[in-house]
Amino acid sequence: MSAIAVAVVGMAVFAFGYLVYSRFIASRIYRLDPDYRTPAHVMEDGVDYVPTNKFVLWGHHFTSVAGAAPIIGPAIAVIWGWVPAFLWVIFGTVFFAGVHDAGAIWASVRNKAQSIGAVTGALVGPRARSLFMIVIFLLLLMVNAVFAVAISRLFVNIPSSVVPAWSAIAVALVIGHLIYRRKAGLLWPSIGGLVVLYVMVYFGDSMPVVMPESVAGLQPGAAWIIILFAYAAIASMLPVWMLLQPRDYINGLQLFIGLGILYLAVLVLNPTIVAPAFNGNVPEGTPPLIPLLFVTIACGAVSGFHGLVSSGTTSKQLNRETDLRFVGYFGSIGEGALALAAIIACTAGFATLAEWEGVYAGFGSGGLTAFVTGGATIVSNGLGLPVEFASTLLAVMAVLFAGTTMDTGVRLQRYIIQEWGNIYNIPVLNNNIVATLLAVGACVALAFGAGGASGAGGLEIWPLFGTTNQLLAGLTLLVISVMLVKLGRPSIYTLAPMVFLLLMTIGALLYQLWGFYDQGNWLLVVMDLVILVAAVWVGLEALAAFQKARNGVATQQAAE
Amino acid sequence: MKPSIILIREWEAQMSGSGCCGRLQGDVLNIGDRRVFPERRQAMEAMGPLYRAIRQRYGDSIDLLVVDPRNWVSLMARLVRDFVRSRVPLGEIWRTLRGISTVTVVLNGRIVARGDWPKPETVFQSIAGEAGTVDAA
Repeated sequence: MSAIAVAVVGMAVFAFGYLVYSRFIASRIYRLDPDYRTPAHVMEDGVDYVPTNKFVLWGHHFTSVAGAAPIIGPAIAVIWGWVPAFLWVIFGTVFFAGVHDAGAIWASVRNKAQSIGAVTGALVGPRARSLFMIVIFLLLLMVNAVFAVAISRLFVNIPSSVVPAWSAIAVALVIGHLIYRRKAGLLWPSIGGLVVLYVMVYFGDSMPVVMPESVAGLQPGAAWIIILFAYAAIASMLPVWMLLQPRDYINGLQLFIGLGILYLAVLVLNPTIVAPAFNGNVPEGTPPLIPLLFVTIACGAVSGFHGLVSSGTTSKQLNRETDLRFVGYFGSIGEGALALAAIIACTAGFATLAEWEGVYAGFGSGGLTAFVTGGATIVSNGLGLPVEFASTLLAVMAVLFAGTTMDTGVRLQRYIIQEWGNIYNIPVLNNNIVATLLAVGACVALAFGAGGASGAGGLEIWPLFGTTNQLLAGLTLLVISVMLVKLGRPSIYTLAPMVFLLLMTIGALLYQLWGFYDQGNWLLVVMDLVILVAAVWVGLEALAAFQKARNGVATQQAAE
Repeated sequence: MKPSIILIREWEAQMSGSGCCGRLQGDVLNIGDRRVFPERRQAMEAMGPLYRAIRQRYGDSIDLLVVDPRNWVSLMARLVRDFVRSRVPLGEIWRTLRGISTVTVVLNGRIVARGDWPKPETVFQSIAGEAGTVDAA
């Protein structure tokens, strides 16, 4: 199968989604009103509430959601064959993600631009609000662990990426000093930083860093995980202007360049997909496609995280309510296009089926490494760039996104722990170092708890991370559905995705629970159970909220 | 032709360079009172009075846009439009592109202030200087 044909079919479905389905959802279900005074106008203050042109706002929104996750999920999921991953990405984007992301903005806009957590509390109840915060904390915990494992694998498999990836820290420090302390213009630091990064990428191949077989008794992957968390701990204690903020100026630019190069190479080369359409010969230990596919690909099909981006910030800048169709729905299509690129790279970037099967020798063994290896082959053959340069370039792109996420994630976890210190009057938790060590310690325990002493199996928690993400999406869809029921409008278009996600989530959790129990992995058994309880809780909250909303509507109709 | 003003500043909660997984500030911060990006917050709050003063004085007779510099595609698109519409000379275009910082005011493709937010009167004078085309609302 031609990769271009796959891309064209995918884009055609996305076009149908935007031009037809989103129009239906916007006009018949959400009934967007161009004359509705959005919070950006009602509360316009030039600080948080600012009416913004929809194209500009789309740029803000899309840059906020696009990252490493829509690459990792599809890169793992193609182990079941490229067709299931492809179908879930395109139909998930059209019928789930677009409706979810646009709906989250709508729910927020109709509730004074409050965050979706706050809207949940107001519409469903305080219990659901608590549940929302529990889910977020679990997500933070898992995202740090899983990204550390993903980066460590890239460092082990693509040693040429080590020096450029770490040199980006020095580049970011210089940029931070120049633009935030010296108040320099952004142009030269951004361009200079990018040039230095690409020069390091070019020379990365001549400076590979290969970890010894044993570092203080640790295998290479495990040693990298420890180093990465040490970095995240230090980075999260630095002032944000010094390292975290300036990384934005590198990450955004190199994402556009990296993906632009990849899509251009696909167009030029038109590679053939060598992976099977449906893989009937999956490696031993691979979980069943249903329900695991639907939690393995979250970002790129539907992601609860997007509800957090949509509400609270995007909704405060929405100029006209009708703009949210473009900003939210089309934003999710941009994310779907990223996932589509990842599928193509991981299935068409190999010379033969045997080579592909060698990379996908076990569940979770593909991931970012498969994306980088496959993508680099396509870029090299399509554009004539050296394959080593191309693989280092794509690896560094993924590492920088995942690394920045770890920095933010550990920082936020520290804040949460310190807040608990305040709430429960435990002064020691307010100490920066203690709180950071606790945050990092929990993540390290999870990474090694999931992956064993080598840390190599850590990507097995990716589906667990996906279930939590989908749970969040289900919660957001619940809020939107309750709003629709209260307004007397059809709720099937949000309710059906919510029920589907909950069923897949619970199914995946039960399957994984059995596996973790079988392995005697008690840490993951407990994690799984906590998420399972949260999922059942969401289901019960949904039933109660609907009953209440329906009763309210019935009472109102009787009174009329 | 409406004069075009671009207020450039970073939105504290909009991006963290890591995609949606690392951009949790909104809801996570509801747990406590702490801001992840306090300096950016100060810059946002300091821009508020300038924004409101411009809005109050000129209403819809001015094209006012607030944009985050990390959203560079949108920023460049708007700047190119302003350069063309206002026929900004090449040297001036270069000065603008080179001068944009995390706090910048651009009027019709030319930088009015950068580094710190100016007083509203300074911006009003600049607008008046642009051929006096704008009526106060």
